[in-house]
Amino acid sequence: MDPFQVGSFLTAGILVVTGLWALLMMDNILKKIIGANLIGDGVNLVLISIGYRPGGFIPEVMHHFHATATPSDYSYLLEFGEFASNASYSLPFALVLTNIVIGASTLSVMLALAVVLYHKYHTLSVQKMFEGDE
Amino acid sequence: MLEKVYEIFHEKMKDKGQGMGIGSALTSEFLMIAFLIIGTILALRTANSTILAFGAIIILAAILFTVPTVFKVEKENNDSINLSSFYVALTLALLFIIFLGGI
Amino acid sequence: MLNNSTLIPLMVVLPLIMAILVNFLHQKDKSVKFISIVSLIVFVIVPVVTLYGVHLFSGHLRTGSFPEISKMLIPEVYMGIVYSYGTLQKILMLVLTIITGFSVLTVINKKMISGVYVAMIFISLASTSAIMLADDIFNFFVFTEFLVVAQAALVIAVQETKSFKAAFKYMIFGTISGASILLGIALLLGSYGLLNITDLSNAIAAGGQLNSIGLSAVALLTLGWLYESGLFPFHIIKSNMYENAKPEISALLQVQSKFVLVAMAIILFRVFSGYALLKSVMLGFAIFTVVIGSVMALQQIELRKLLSYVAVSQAGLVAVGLGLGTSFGIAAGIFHAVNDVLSMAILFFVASFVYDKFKTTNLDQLREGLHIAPLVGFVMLLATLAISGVPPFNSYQSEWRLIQAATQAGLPELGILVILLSVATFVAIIKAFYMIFMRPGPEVEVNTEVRGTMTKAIIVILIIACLGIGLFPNVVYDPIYNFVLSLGV
Repeated sequence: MDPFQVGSFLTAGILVVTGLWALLMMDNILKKIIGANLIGDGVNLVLISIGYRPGGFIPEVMHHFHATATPSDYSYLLEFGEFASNASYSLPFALVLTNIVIGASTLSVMLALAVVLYHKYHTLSVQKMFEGDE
Repeated sequence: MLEKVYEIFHEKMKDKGQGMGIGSALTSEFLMIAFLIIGTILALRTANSTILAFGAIIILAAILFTVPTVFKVEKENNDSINLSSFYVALTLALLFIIFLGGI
Repeated sequence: MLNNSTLIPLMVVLPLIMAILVNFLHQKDKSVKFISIVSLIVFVIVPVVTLYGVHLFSGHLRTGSFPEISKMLIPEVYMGIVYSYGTLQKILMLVLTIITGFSVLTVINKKMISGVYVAMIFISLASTSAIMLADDIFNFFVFTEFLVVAQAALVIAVQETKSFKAAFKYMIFGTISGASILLGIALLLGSYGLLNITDLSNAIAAGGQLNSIGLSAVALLTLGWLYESGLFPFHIIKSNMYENAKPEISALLQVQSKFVLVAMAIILFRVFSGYALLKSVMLGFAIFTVVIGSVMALQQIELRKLLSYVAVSQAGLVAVGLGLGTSFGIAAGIFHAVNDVLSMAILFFVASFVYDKFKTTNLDQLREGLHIAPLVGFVMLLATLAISGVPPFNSYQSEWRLIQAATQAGLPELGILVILLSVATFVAIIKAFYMIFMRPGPEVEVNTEVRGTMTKAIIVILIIACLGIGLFPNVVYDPIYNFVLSLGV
């Protein structure tokens, strides 16, 4: 594996571990939410790093690839050996875009809940908010 | 001896209501003890029969020493966020150990 | 088998469109009511008229994978997202849409109707349908995340501090488990290059022993399954959600949780077929949940908390059937899921009636309800018999099959545990029945405006359905068994 890809996976691992630590160990409710977001960022980085190709280009079929061919099935992509062997993997882009949107929506709901809980308890400490449940 | 067990339960459940509360607590106690014994037999049956005998004796001793087990179970199952986080972290670690260790 | 049937994605798309419409018409009560009732009828009709088959999105057919260049382990792959609809999905969709319909009818029967609330119910219906239909693992993940947000929104709508805290805890652990599932999917994508479940199962079967990346993916996906189904250690959070939602919504939440349990377990079995350790791990967590749920249920003095722990323990029982691993066990587990959601729905609707009529669900404060609501009391008694596995009701048929499957799989002790669980469930709920309806004492405050005709009609229909399935179980069981045999797990 390329050292850049290895470094990318390691960074993703650090992000996930930091996020998990913040989510489980921190007392401040906002830090828990930031930790949850960090875990999502780490997983997105793992997804993107899977599609890495050293020296690759964006997987968009430019017009000089299909100037003459009319695509009727997928075998026309075999014609473009240069494209197939040099483009980076395009599938993770779609997955990560979807996941970023999901992460944004869960983040917004959690932040709204944090605002409401702060108005009720006037503290950001999870220990004080949830101590009545013991 | 059964009266002593009933007294222990009655004491701990004073705030929970009358006879029905104690009846259901006793039912849950029987269920918990049965689960511990059956669980030990189930887990150790495929191993050596000596290990099974030792495991059963250890579990019986543990039960005798901690007779009202359900109150401890109830305290462990309250919905505080710290306790739940602890169990989640424990489960994640357990799953990785079981699957990657290939037990 | 019809290829590219267009009605299959309608089961997901139509609830989403109706959710947006109803949300837009918030505060126009008559329009919300009319559109909700029409949509519910359509949602029940669509699964009935849809033929079995697959739907290939954008018409991408199954095609060659050029294994020498792409290094994929199978010669043919699906090129797009696939939804598949078989006998099992039909039964589960019918039960889900009917109980969603009953919940929405109870909700719009109240004085204040909220378009946003009904929209969240429709979004949760769409997400559960997609989870059951999807043959693409990433699409399945996206809809599990939708489901978490929609369920949290339904609990937030109760507008009490307890419900805010419950929803916050649910979303925090939902983020962990969602990231877990996505990381498992990412590891599988990196190893095999595939997202379609049929193709993944063929590739993993062709690839030989799972390497450590595959095993990590198994562990992460199992953690996600534990969260989605509400098994240990997430049973406390799930029961907190059931307890803090309005009872008619809890009836819906427990249906969704049990069906997502079944759907995700089938996905795990298909993807990691022939991996026996997964089934043992699932069985272990399931047994633990069954016992802890019952033990906690027996201690409760508040009706909704009691019912929520019973729901969690019955979900564990479904997972016991699935964790046995044999076709008989899996079919018995799925059959028990169908039976159990019907009886638990009756009990939750009874709790909703008690909450509206007597203004409290604390068992200490309720007495002599049988004078005020004899029909509801009688149906609750029948539902207690139904959920405990007493013939002639439906859970008897499924629990008997579970015990037989456990014995045939070589674990007769599990049969003993199932019987003890039935007794414990019966004790817990009959105690609640006695304390609400039969216990003598001073008069209790009653809300005389609440007639509850809708709730009474719903619980009578559901108990007749329970009796019908109990007397003629093969109508529901045989298609499930044939489906599980065709899966080949």
